Amino acid sequence: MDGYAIHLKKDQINTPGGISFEITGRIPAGTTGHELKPGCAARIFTGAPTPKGANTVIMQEECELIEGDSKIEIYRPINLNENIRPMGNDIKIDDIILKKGLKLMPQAIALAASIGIGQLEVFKKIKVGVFFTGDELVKPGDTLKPGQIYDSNRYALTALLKNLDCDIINLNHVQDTLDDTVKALALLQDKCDLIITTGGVSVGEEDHVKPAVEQLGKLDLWRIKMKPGKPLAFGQVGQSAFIGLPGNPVSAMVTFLLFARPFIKKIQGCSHYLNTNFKVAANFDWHRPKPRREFVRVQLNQSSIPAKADQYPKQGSDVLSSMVWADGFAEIPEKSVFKSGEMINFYPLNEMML
Amino acid sequence: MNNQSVECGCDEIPQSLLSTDQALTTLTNAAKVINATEFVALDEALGRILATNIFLILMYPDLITLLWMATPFILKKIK
Repeated sequence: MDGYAIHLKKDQINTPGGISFEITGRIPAGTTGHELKPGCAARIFTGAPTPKGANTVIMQEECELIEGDSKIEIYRPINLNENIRPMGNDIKIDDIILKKGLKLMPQAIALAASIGIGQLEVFKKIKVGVFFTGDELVKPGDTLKPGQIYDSNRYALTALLKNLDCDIINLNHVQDTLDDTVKALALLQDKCDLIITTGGVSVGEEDHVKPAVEQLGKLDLWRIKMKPGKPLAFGQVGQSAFIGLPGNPVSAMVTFLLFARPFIKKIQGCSHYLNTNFKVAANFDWHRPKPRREFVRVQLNQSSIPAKADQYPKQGSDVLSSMVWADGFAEIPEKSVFKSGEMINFYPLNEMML
Repeated sequence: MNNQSVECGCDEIPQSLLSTDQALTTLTNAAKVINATEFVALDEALGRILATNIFLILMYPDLITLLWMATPFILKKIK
């Protein structure tokens, strides 16, 4: 703070008002000042170190300049060590101040800077290869012809990967043939740590991703007991891991966030790679037991304790507006039946999008 | 890429329906950390994953006074 550093004599400690001190120094931030003798004071400014001899600091508003500004007088009892932050108050020698695996946020960078560190050793960015199949998909901005739809997954996936600080190798649209799909995978397999696709991983004759991956590596097609997003493929192509997300837009995003995101964060070296959740109260009834775990898009009403979760009225895997409306996912366990007020797990989207 | 393959663990996975917990466990067990590292300036560090613990191990002795108001040290060495 701005004020006066003082060398308080023993008989001046906690003495009722009217004590004066001769001003013998001035210490702006960035300088160290001279040793203070007993009964003397030095003008001191925020950020400056206390000089040798100083044992308390008094804010300037409590000091009155007297005798042609050569002394200060203070009219209240003064104690030792007022307004002094001792060395090591924040961090002590040998403290780990930042742990391996930490995702560096502004506060961590500030702490590193505060102790003089100019650069940090970090894991290299992972390289993620993507390409998009589906002859019905059209780039936004182009005119739709009958049977065509706009491609949203391409933009969702690349944005999600950018949020995770991945280096993206994007082959963009690949013709929906087995030969072109194999060529795309072959191009990416030795350049990437991970390849991700959306759609085309089912077993239909127009689904070429599965046989293409199997030609170059190995693949397992999982049917997960969840909604949205039942099919998920996981495998390996050359040196690269492979994750095939479902093609429906909501399913693709939900499975990315619930499965691909923790996988990516772990290979990035992040120590906290699992999604966090907390309990909220359902603000809806769940009447019918269902065989699959559901991840319902909900909005939180935080005006009550606990916060209440309202569900979006349309929960189809094509209803992308539900993802924009929602604050997160409510996890509804398999075979559940409950009334409003039931405590359920909530996965916040704002955290999963980081 | 960072020259480390990621085993998919396909051989251990049952072919029938998986629970979400099984799928997540299988995926994260198969994920191996890419160990390649680099040094980046603080201006470039936002969002990156720290590859080593940062200790405060030594203060610069000339700057140590009995009581110290400002941020009190200069790091001599980083582990």
